[in-house]
Amino acid sequence: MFKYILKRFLMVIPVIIGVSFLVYFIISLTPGDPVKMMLGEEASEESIQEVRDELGLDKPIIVQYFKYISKLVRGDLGVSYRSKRPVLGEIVARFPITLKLTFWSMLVAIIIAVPLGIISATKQYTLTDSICSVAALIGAAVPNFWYGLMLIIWFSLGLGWFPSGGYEGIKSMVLPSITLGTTAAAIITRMTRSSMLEVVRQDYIRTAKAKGVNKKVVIRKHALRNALIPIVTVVGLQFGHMLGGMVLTETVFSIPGMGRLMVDSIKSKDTPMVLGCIITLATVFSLVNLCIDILYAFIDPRIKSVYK
Amino acid sequence: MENVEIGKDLLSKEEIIKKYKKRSQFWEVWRRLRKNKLAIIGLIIIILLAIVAIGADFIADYDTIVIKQNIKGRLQPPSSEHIFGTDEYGRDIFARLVHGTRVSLTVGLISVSIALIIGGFLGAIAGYYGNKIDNVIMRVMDIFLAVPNILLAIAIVSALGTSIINLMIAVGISSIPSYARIVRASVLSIKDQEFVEAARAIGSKDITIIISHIIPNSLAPVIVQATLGVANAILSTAAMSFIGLGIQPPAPEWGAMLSGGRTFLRDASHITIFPGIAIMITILSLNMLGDGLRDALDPKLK
Amino acid sequence: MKKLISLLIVTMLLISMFVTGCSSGDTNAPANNANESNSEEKSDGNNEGKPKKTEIVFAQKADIVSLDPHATNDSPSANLTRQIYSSLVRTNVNMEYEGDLAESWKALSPTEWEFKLRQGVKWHDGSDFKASDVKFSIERQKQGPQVKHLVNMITEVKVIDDYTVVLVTDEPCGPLLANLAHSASRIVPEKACTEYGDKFAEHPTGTGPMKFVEWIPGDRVVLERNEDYFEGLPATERLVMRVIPEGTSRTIALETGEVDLILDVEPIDKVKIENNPDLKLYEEMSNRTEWLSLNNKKAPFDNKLVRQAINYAIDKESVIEVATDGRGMVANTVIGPTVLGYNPNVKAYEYNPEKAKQLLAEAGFPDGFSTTLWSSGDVRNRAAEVIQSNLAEVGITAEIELMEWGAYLDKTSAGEHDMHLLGWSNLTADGDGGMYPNFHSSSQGASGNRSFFENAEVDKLLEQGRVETDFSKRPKYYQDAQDIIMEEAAMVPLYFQPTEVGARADLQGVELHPGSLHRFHMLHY
Repeated sequence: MFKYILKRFLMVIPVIIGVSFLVYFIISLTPGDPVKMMLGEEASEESIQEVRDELGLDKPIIVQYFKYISKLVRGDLGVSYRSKRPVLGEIVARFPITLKLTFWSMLVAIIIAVPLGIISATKQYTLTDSICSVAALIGAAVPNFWYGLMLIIWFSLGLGWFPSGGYEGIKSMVLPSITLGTTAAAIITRMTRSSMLEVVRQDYIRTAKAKGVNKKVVIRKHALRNALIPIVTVVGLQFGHMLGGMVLTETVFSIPGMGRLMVDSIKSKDTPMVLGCIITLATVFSLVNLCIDILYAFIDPRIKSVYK
Repeated sequence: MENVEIGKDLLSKEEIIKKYKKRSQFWEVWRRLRKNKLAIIGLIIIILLAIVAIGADFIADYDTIVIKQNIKGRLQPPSSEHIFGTDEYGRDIFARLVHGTRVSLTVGLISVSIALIIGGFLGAIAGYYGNKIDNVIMRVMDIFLAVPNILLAIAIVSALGTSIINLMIAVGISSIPSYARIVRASVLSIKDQEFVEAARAIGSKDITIIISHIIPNSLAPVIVQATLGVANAILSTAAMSFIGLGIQPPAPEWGAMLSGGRTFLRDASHITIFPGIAIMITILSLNMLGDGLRDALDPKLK
Repeated sequence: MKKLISLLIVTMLLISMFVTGCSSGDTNAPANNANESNSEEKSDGNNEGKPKKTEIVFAQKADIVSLDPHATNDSPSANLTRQIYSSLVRTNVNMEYEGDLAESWKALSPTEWEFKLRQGVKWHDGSDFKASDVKFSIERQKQGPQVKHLVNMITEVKVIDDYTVVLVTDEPCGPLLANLAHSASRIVPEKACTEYGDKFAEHPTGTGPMKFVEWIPGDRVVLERNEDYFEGLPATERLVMRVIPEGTSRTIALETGEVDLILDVEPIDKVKIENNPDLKLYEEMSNRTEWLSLNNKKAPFDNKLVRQAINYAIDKESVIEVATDGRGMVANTVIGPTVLGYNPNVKAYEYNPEKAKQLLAEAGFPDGFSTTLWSSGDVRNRAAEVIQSNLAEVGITAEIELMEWGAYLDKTSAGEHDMHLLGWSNLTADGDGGMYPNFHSSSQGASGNRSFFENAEVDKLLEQGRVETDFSKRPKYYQDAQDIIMEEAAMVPLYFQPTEVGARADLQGVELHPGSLHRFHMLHY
């Protein structure tokens, strides 16, 4: 078991390095002179050249990249062009907020989706099933930024139940979580439903029912457990989508998280910040996938045995 | 004429032959798809949208209606003159939606095509040759997959600049991994089958085998993914326009229309509602169609 | 079949949600009821049982860049540094100069000004304010690339005694007071600055009415009152600035009572605030001019006929309608009616597309040409779209490029643009402040002249205006300069903008400053 985890963990590292290279390469295509942006217009030619030499910006991309990586492994993500403060500091300040929001959204999504999916599957072909399926279809189709705005108007302005934005306490997390969680919920519902349907048709389920086991127990103990793998996969994928969807949600709800930081940095060509953000997100996403892989091993012992 | 008993029915030889003759796959799929009402609705809507996109210029002239501003008549609610009302510059929303269909569908189709061709090719090679090549390609795909879709697209667009072509490239590139994976999985499942061995035995070149045998057999999951992929591409485009990295004004694009209208959400909500509905309906139809195709193409349900 | 029915049912539900949702959004009645009970609840909640709110929250559209007044020259930061620091002099709401840290001042000679400083003023860290701090601050300000242009002309700061300084300028400087009253000309403590060095921005220490508590980047800045403020105890106990980038969200936050005051009110929401009995809109004409800047150094904008053509091509009324919901005033010249030196009689360019086309043909562009138009920020972006359409009518195809603010300022300073939209908040209501940075040849670039306009006569007039210390003679220089600038069509002035603040109706102590230099230490319920 431990070897399995270790192996999967080690595979994350080259991926992160690869991501850093990919993003570095993409950002390097961006036109614009970062040094001029850093020092402002009054800077003289000499000081501009000085800083260029110091940062090694005249050397080829590969050399610059290696310099960046060598700093990265020491935990130095550089200094933001825009705010002149260390990138790592700003990320550390804002990332937990995004993470928290993603966590709550995922919670909302799973709490809604899994039961709905199960009900839908067990009551297949009934009206309940149809309504759930269609609702899921529509839920997956609604653009989440629009949905967020609507929620603000209905529940914040109209009913006054929740604050319209900001990051203060649980109440301010509700609307954004619902916004982000709904799309994910829709997709997870569909996956739960189809996965459960497949499992329920299996022979061992029929055997259990024939043996007289309580229907609820059958679902919980046998069906759900076996259906979990695709569901867990989808949850992992949705987590990644959520990290992306963060960007829009944070803008609409004025949440000081990393999504907005990233967009602002991209728009202002703040390369170190953009790189820092994407690397952080990629790392987290990879770790989440790692956890999911480990989860597989717990759910399905067959997978674990491959690595024994 | 001999009668053969099949169960309780008595069928003539001709009828038996007719019944069991191998139908072309396409007809099979079509027949099964037809039974799925939702999928058919989705298909019809998509076809309608395509017609609207192609015939956009006939419905509303671009220069005089779509981009021409009429400040005095701005923010009008739906009326007989403007079915969906006017936006913040006095432009007819219906006309803009119509032309926006063209933009969205184009971006969707082309970006998916890019992803499909490149991704599919990479996946086929990875699956067919296996070992080192497979490993390398799949690791690279993992790298791409480690960054959430939209973020990668945003990074690419911000580097290359905001134009419709760059948008298509960005969304396309960020979708490559999914197609690579699907095609690879497909290839892996077929490549050890007998007909491939047979083809090799005759001396067919690898590339011929890939093109004429493997790719056609992996089409099914790819088609499903592509259908859903167009939906995703449209959403991504809308999202990026929302942030301001998408199609530039005055070009009509649904996401940009949503973004432009959000200041006026409380006073002239029609500016955001109609593009939002357009996006929703398009994605809904694509999803329903995609689901239907998945069911129809699923060999297990035969 | 069942699926079809469900599709119908769900669609019906959604539609009904829309219909009710929209109507409750449009009319304010249900919102108000919810709000009244809400704001009371919230006040109680915030203060654990106290009947009145003591924490005042205001929202602005962007986060601060830095709390070091010499490190930046942007409004969002200035809104906060204004509460933390003081300057030698400041302008009051009638745009008159009054002493801040200076008690009195007089000119010893055309190039020497003596300032008598207040005694007994304490820095937030408890140390005493002295003349050496003034010397230190001005010299420090001269090092800051974005702010040095305000004090460059001061060659020496003589410390006569602990409470007297003499500022020596290289030439007689008419707008000296104006520059010293500028948001960036804050006095900082020598001791704390030397101690913290580069990290001073993290420990802002001033002599102002509010003390720094914390900054959560992207979210808020918290200040608390300075009990020893030299002008008396501030009425505001705690001041919080919240960043709310979305205009609609800011207004909603005000309506629900989450914030007590908002800056940067979205134009279309102003009517809502006016009609809402719980809220109040404070609005008046400001010193701000919004314009379309043309890069005089890039073809075809180096051709006067082209520039004039563009002036004729733009329908300013439409721009105002779309950008400010009709609340701006058409601008025919580059400084507004509230500014010293305003010339109401410059050559006017009325909206005349035909004339524009004529001029273009004369200039050699009968079929127009292609170019780019840069913009940043929602309001300007809307204006950009209108201008794009106007220009298209006369054959000019302008591609709009939207940028983020920081990059926008940097690139336009570098002169990389063809045309861009910008404005100028004339914080000193002085012709020099409005025109020298924008039209003098030495100010090209980051100091303000992003049109890269160069005209020897205008230079001379502006310089004369600057050294003239007789305030009755100064306006003429600026008026003459405007005549030339508008004849040359250096840029296209679009409109004069009002300044506004939206607040809860029962919030006391709101004072609007025409230069948008609002002070918030007297806010209370």
